[in-house]
Amino acid sequence: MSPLLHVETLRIAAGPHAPALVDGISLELDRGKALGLVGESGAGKTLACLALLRLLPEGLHIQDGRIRLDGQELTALTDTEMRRLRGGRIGMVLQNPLSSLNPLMRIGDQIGEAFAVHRGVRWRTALWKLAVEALRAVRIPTPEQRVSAYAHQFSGGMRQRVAITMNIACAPDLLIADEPTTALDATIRLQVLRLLGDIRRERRMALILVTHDLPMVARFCDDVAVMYAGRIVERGPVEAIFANPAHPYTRGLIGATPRLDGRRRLATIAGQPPSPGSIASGCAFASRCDVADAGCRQGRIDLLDLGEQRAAACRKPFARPPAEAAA
Amino acid sequence: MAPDGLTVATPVVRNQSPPRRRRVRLPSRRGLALWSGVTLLAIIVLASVLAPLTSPYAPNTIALKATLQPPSMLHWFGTDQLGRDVLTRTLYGGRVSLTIAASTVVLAGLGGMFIGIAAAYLGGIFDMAVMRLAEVQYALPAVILAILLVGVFGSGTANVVLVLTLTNWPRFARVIRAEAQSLSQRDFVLLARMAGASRLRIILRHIAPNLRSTFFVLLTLDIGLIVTLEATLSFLGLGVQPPTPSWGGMIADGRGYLDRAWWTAILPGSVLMLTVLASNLIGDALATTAGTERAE
Repeated sequence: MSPLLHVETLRIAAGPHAPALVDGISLELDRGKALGLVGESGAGKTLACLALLRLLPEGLHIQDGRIRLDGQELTALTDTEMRRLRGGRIGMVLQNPLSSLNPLMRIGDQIGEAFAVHRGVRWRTALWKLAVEALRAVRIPTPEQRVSAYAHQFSGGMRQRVAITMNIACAPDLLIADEPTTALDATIRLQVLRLLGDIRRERRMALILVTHDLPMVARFCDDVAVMYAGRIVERGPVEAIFANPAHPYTRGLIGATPRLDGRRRLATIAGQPPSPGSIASGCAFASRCDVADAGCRQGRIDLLDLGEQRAAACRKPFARPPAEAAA
Repeated sequence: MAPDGLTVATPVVRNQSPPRRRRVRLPSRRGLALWSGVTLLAIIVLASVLAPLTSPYAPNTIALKATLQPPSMLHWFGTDQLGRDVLTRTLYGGRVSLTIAASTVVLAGLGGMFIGIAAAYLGGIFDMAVMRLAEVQYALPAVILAILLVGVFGSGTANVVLVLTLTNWPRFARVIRAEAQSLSQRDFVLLARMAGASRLRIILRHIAPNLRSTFFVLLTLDIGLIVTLEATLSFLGLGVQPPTPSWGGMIADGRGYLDRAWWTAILPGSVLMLTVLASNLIGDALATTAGTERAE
């Protein structure tokens, strides 16, 4: 069976000769599966997701690559066809729930928008009835009263659930959640994630979870893709990668996760990620890598198949720095 | 005082304290400005609208036996060089001036809003062309442009509205365009696009409604400006034509008698000034309220 989402060598830049901000990433995602997309700020995670919806910020374009959803090539669709897909087959949830609802619209109207756009429902009573059902599905208490409220009457967690509702109302095949819990506090974060997990299982919806939070990925995702400087440097099943990361950057990220029981200092990755276009050749991570040698700074380093559905863009997968290897 | 230097709080027993006097809540400065503006404007508008019912005189009845009479119980604002009652003429002039101002503000406001949203959303050549035109108009003093346009269209009440609309749309268009652009960057617009909403839907449901506070602030601030512009045109003889009374025209007529009969020019002028003041008070208060709303 072919995967639900198939992204091939996607490249995003401001122009054909401008440095690539997302540089040839490839992804596959099956129906009902969850993919964690992790990486530092500026690695191109959000851009890659916006490209899937063809909603890149003004000035940026998909320069190359293919995006297939259920066999349909998205880069070839007209704007109108693409618009029908958004919210219909692909949904996306944004980071900040406080700003993602229109302050002047009632919740019912805002959720109803999806039904009005995709199902042609006209009348407010019908829209609100659908909105009540949708709110009930995301476990908002007393949805009958809530539909007539405004966004400011909702808490942050509830607003995020409303935003999620808006985007899953029409049962999309794929939901992209761009740091959906960053702006929420810890308990609400778990609630929202559990909700996303349940919906995913119930509806066999695929999920792309963009985040900085590795434990969250470990807990809620099947696969993980690590992005660095616009490329995917490692991808594979969550358990295998967390147990034994192949790419030094993945190892660094996992090492930099704070633990409650740890007595040791929090590990960091020295240096800064490179700015787009500053790396002429070689591995973008070489200057920060503790196992890199001269060979890592030459040529183009592509994803290397490591078996067990894993791949890493590294010449020395699983290598440990000398000090650690000795110990 | 406790020995370690800490103050020991004495428990307050609520029940035993005498009932507190209810404080009179004074309106905030903003509230005061708003309501004095509204009151002032309401008085002027009401008096003008009701003028035919309340005034014992007709605005254009000439009484050559009673010219240039100072304010009295009979003629509160005195009479002019033709013996016409200045108060009556001021109120009738208000009807004309306020009608012109209101129609202009609505026309220029709606037109400017439409053009501004279209420019923000269509972008490209339309945006360029419209905004450059607005800037050219900004560079010219409004009065000069208005005089030019009166030369083209001719004077008269309807033409004054047309001319003032043509001179005043850019202020609306520019502010609305900027506001619409910043709104279209907001997350809820992005989310609506992600939900598949069309451009038209986003404009009508997400952008336009969120422009309303800006729109009303501009509207009220503009009333004062347009009343002044209209008075300027009428003063120059390019606006409302005699014998129809207008504030600008009355000031122009009275100008020659300032040494003998100050009331003929000063009193209509004061009403004009109060109208502008009221409009600015309301506009400023609304602008502050809208600003605070946004900050919250």
